[in-house]
Order: sequence, then structure tokens, then C-alpha cells
Amino acid sequence: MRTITGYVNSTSALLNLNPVTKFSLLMFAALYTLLGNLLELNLLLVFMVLTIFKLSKIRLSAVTNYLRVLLGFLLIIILSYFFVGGGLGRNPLVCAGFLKLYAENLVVGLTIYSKILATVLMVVLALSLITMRDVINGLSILGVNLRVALVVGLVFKFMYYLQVKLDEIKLGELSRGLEISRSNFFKRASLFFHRLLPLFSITLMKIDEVSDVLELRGFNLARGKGLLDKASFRFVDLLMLFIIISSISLITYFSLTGVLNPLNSLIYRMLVSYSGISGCPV
Amino acid sequence: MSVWDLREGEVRSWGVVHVVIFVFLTALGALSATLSSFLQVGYGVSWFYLAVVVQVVGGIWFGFWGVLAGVFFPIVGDLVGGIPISISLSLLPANLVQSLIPATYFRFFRVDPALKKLGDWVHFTLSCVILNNLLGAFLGASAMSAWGFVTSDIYFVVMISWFVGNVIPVLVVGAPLLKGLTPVIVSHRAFCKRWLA
Repeated sequence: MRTITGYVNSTSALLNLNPVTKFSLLMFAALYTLLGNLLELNLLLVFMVLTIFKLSKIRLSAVTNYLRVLLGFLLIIILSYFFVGGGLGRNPLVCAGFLKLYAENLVVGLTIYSKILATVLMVVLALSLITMRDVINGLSILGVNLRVALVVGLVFKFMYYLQVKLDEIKLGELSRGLEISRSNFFKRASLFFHRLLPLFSITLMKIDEVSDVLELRGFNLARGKGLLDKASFRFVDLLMLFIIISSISLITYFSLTGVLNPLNSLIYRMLVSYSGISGCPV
Repeated sequence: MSVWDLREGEVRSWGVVHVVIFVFLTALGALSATLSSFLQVGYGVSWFYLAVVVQVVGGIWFGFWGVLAGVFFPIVGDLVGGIPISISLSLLPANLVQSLIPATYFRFFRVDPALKKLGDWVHFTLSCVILNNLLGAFLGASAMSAWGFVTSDIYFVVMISWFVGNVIPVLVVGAPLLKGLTPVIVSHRAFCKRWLA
């Protein structure tokens, strides 16, 4: 079955979930970025999400497409916390010349990164379950006008269409002997113009076509209620919604009471005890 | 008579084609955002953020629909890219100004998007290269700092990277696109002389 991330095994039990349950995974990820401030909890969530991937028969190769995003995050966290300090440091762990790595920086940096890792994995899981129809049905169940939901669904369709057209343009470049991956930065940058120009021109015709078809079918944003498919809540949906809502409530409570704090981490305490014997001047 | 002036008796109203333009720009922007990641220096900061071109030209050509897409596509692009919606929403003000400033400026000063005269280039540089990207970089770096991704030590490095990463594609891709495609776009029914149509 084709979902937003690509094709997944249609025997996966989670594919038949109600769209609202699938959306609630995205909502959980969004809230967790605000609240997940304990390293151990973040690592536990990473482990749990990876287990759900395995149990729901979704290939982990879906995650490999997101490695660039995760590496991007890692790079900025390393730059921010491990090299330039950030003014948090009290307990040095390693010192090499003017560079010092502090326990506080390491734990806060790792906490933020593990939180992002957990939420990105959660988002990838949700996207691996959401089909185009789920987008439209899910938004409609949540009270969004059906026509608006169709417009959002159309965005994903258009993205696929543009991707196909872009691949055609790239093939055209290749057939004319343009090997973009071997060019330098400025050459690659200017070649983007040669990709966007045909993409705009091709799509202008497609836009006319699509809008004519929509007009002929009486598409009107002002009215429209209903669903594409009937979607009911089953026991698994209710169970998952219960787990998600109770987890969010607990995490919010512990976050507000200050329990979920990077410096309450057991790993931090272990690192602080190590800093005493590291031999670095404080 | 500039491209923004209505002909005598001309009545413009928005329709389905503008909704489809919004859909197209959103999809193109989200796709461009993924293409831009080949020179990324951390999340949200790329030395070549191609998607800003869609924000700039979309806002100028298609007014409200372009600006709306300029705000909406980073959310879709980020979501497809695995980023939680809460982070994308915090970058919304930065994306809004990057698209809104050129769209407003060109309409207010009636600048020709085909950039025919030297004066048009000056206006283009001010609104599409400097003003919008400087404010966008400030708001974007501030949002990332609020999330804790960026500490005060590298705040300005991130802000400058954001600014440079936006300026290069606007100059290398955006300007030729405006020059080359404006004559075609203004004759298309989706072109917005006003904000909505």
C-alpha cells in the first residue's frame, strides 16, 4: 500500500488504524519536542518506536531517507554544545588545549538530540502509516471542510507529480551529458535554475488542466462537509489513543513539576562523578 | 502602464485556479526544501536554501496565494522530512516575512517583476535579497535558539548562514526566474495584480 513515505507492507496491523489515531502520533511527536527533557526517557522512546517499527512490519529503510535530517541536527548540536560551550559548563570531562567538554554541555546536547531523534522516528512512523486518503479523511473527521481537506490531499499528489517531472528533467540532463553530482557548488547552484524553469512551465499547463477539471466538477471552497470513506474507531484505536493521551498527561505533569530536567538524569550524575577524576582544571 | 494596473473595465476575482496555484507552490516549495539539503549546516540552515525562491517569486506573482504557500510549504516539507510540526510552526514568522515583504514591496512601489530597468533591480535587491532575508534570518535563528538547538555562542554564525543561504539562491535562481518567466506569468489567469486576483 502506498503511504506518504512510500510503499509499505499491506498486512501491517497498524495500517488499518483510524486516520485520527494516526494523526495523534504526529500530535504526540509535536508535544514531545516541547516536553521530553530527560535523556533516559528519550532513549526509551527511541527504543519503543523502533520496536513498533518491527512489530508493525514497517521496514527500517524508511528511516534511512531521514538520515540527512538527523545528521543535520547532530551537526548543529555538536557545534552548539560540544565545541563552543554555551555557558553551561561546570564539570569538565575532557580537555585538549583550549577545547573543553563539560558534563552539562554533553548531557544537555545529548538530551536535545535524543529528543529530536525520538520525535523524528515517531513522525516517520506516522507518515509510514498515513495514506493520501487518510490525510483527507483524517482532516474531515477533525472538522476541516472536506474541500479544504481535498486541497491538502492535492498538495501531496502534486508533490509526487513534481517529483516525477523532476526525475524526467534530471534524466534529460544526464542524456545530454550533464553529471550534476560531479560539478562544483556554483555549477550545481546555477543548474537549479535550469530545473525550476521547465518545472514551472510544465506545471503551468497542468495547473490549467487541474483547475478546469475542478471547475467542471463544481469544486467550491465555500461549501462541503462529509467524508470520502466511513472510518470507525476499533478497539486498537481506542487503546492507542488511551496510551497516547495518558503518556502526554504524565509527561506534561512531570515536566511541570521539574522532574524532566536534563540535569536530573542518571547519566549526568555518573558523568559528574567522572569529572572529578578526569584531571581537567575546573 | 505597469503590470499591476488594471485595464479599463477589467474585473478580477479569485477562483479555483488560484487554489490550484497555492497547491502547486506548496508542493514545489516542499520539494525544493528537500533539494536544498545538499549543503546543510544543521537543521533549517542550508548554504543554498532553494525553497526561498518559491517564497519570493510566489509572493510577487501570486500575492496572497504565494504568501500562503510560502508559509504552508515549510510545514508540509518539514513534516515529510520527519520534523515535528511544533518546530515548523516556530519558524512560521521567519517564513512569513521572507514571502510577505517582496509581495508587499513590489505591489506598493509598483515594481516590474520582469526587472527591466536598473531601478527595478535596486528595488529587487532591497526587498527580495536584503530586507526579507535579514529579518527572516533573525527570526529563524531566534526560533532555533528558543528550542535550544543554537546557543548564544553560535547565534550569529547561524543567522549569517541562514542569510547567505537565502541570498545565493534568490540571486542565482530567483532573479533569472523573475526575468525569464514574468512575461509568461503575467499573461496567465492566475497572476495576481491585487492580493487575491
